[in-house]
Amino acid sequence: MTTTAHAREREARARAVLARVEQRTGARSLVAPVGTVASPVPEPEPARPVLTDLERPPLPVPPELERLLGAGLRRGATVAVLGSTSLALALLAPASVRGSWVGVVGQPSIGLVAAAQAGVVLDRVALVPEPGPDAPGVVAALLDGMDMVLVGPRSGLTDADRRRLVARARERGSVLVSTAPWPGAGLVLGVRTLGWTGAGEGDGRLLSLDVRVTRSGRGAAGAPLAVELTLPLAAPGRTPVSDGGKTAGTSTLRLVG
Amino acid sequence: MSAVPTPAVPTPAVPTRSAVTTRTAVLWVPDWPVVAAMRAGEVASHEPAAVHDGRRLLAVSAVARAAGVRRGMRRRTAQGVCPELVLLGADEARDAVAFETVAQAAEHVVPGIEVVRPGLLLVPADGAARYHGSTEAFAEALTDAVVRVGHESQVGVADGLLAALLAARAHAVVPPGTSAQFLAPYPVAALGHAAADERSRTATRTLVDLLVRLGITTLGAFAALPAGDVEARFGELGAWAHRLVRGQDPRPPVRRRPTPDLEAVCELDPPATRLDVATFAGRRIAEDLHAQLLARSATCARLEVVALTEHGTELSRTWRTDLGGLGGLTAARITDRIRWQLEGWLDRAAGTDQGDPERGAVVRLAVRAREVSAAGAEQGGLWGGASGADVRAHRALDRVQGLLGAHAVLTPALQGGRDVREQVHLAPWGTSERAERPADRPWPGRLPAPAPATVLPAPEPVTVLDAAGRAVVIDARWTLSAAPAWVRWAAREARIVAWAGPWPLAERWWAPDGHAKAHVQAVLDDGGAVLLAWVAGGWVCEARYD
Repeated sequence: MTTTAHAREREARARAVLARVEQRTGARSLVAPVGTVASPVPEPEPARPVLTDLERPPLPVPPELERLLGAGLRRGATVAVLGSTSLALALLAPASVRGSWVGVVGQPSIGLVAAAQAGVVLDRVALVPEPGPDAPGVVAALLDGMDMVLVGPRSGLTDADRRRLVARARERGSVLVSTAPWPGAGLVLGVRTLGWTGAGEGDGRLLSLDVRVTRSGRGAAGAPLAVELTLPLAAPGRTPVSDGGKTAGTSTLRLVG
Repeated sequence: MSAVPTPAVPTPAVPTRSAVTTRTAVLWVPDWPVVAAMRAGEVASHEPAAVHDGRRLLAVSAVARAAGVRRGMRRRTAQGVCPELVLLGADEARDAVAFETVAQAAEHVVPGIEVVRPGLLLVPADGAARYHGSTEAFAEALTDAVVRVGHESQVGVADGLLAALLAARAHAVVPPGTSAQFLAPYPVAALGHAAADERSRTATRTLVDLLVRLGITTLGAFAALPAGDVEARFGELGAWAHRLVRGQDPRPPVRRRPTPDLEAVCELDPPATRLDVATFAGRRIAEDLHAQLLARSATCARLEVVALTEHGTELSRTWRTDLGGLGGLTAARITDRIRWQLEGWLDRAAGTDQGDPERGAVVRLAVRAREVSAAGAEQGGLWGGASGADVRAHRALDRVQGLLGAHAVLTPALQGGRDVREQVHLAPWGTSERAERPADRPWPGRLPAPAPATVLPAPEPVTVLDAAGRAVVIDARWTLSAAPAWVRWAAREARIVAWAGPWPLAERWWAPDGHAKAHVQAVLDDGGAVLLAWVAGGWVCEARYD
């Protein structure tokens, strides 16, 4: 009994080392062939998801969205964010902060200042504003190399392209985020605007947007669920933009003299 | 202070040279900073001039010295001594760049030189003297070479660094083995000439002060002290100085090997106006450069592609080649870079100047390797270089660039600015373009956060109406004629439920590219919010907050 436990421990250690090496060198192909996972002891769970989670943990998401998305964005998922670019940017930010690259295809209107304010690290962002007729090839190439690819409305994709790209994302373990309707997306976040705060009749300025985000999709995500959020969300590791001025203004006052 | 016995240096009958001594020639251009500054500032050589760094004078020209101006003076004192003194700003980069011509002239005479500082060159003299017949002939050849590039210089040859430096000031050749005797009568303050930078100069000055207070006033007296005692009393600096004054070398000159530029050039005759013709030539020079790199087993971190048009404009761009993931630099990759760049230019030339098709004709195409280093010896980034994820992303971007061309893949960076568009700098992936304006300045008047998440690629013209249906305008005093109530696009209109502004923004009004506009944020009844701008007498919708 101890010998099998020992062997399993050794195997687990070897796998961890291999995964780390693959991640460092970039020679990773996500899913090891299922046939090779011949464990001496039958495991309680199927081998595939365990491998995925071990080798490629899900991408982090903003804490406000954890009710909708669980612990994170599953690798290989396709998410459509409809109705709010800010929410899509907020979705990209935590992974970007942790070192992931983000490709943006066919979204020439993306507000990069807003992206930076949301916490997206622009050093690891690449834009392909007008992919033209090569859009499927471009998205596929970026899915190979980047953890997250945002696909905008200006990438003329057919439904067949979309199916192939979803399969590609699943195979490569990248996350495909679409700001345009994406038939067959595993997860759809629909955003309805509730109202802006901050602006008056010629006074104030836009501060925050209250939205209601509805989740739909396939599989476990199919159970409808909605949360109310205030956009922009706090950038990872920073205070929220909207009340930053006020709190900073009051807290930095101190008695002198 | 002749009480100190000077000839304590062992003087053998036959001059033998210590193993740690190199026969060194020093080429010295007096007052180099001021010479370079006068050359750059076009100050005539008969005018007194000096270089100052804001606190004190760093270098003084001969004419100014004759008028009584000295190095280290304060500006006001110097101007008091010599009212017509021309003061020039200190610029180390300018000095170094200007000295490069002198260094190259010297390299024509003798390969392998060490530039100690701008104005001072070190050359191992043994082989060169043999080649030129005698040391004197060699020194003359060096001076002549420097005169040909337009500078007066002095050359000194001696054993050891310090003796050579002082010999250069005397424009003399010290016979082999007699450096110690040559140095002996000099005051200890002469040690300061051997200090290369400001810090060691200060340290040396302290040491010289100490020596003088101890009664050791000449280099001979210092050299007479036992080496072990000097090291014990004065430490590392003292040991260094002691070696110098005995005519030895702390280290032999570090010889600079002239590195030939790796460059491949081709002249295009007839001039290329079409991309395929130019690319074909580009392919040839790419293969040439690649072969050169291979022959040296070298790689380069930057690749500069330069094209000369018929009208003499030089179009150049530098590409980074250290981002390319694995695979390295191949002829095909170099060709790709050339093609992308020419694509941009020939397209642009064709697009802007329809009437003048010759404008874009390329007559000369060159590709240069910059930052050449031995292959496999590249330095990674400070924080561990490119990790696996970065390498994969770089490779993916290279592939997309291969599909769509260089200008289709952009990398963003934030830069300074007030407008939503101005604050973003986009550069093609792989080029080393910098943002134009620094982002860490205050930029008063910048639009407040949060920034709009959708910035329309081209502003949409809109009409803004008040509640009575009249057009809302902004007058010269930046006030709205009425509260805005409706926004009308070409196809739709929306009621404004809340708004903020107007925030006027008059930028660069003193320059021809100046412009003035006013921003208004408006919340619409459909829940959206837009950023409107009043530009040149009309409204546009610039961005959406969504």
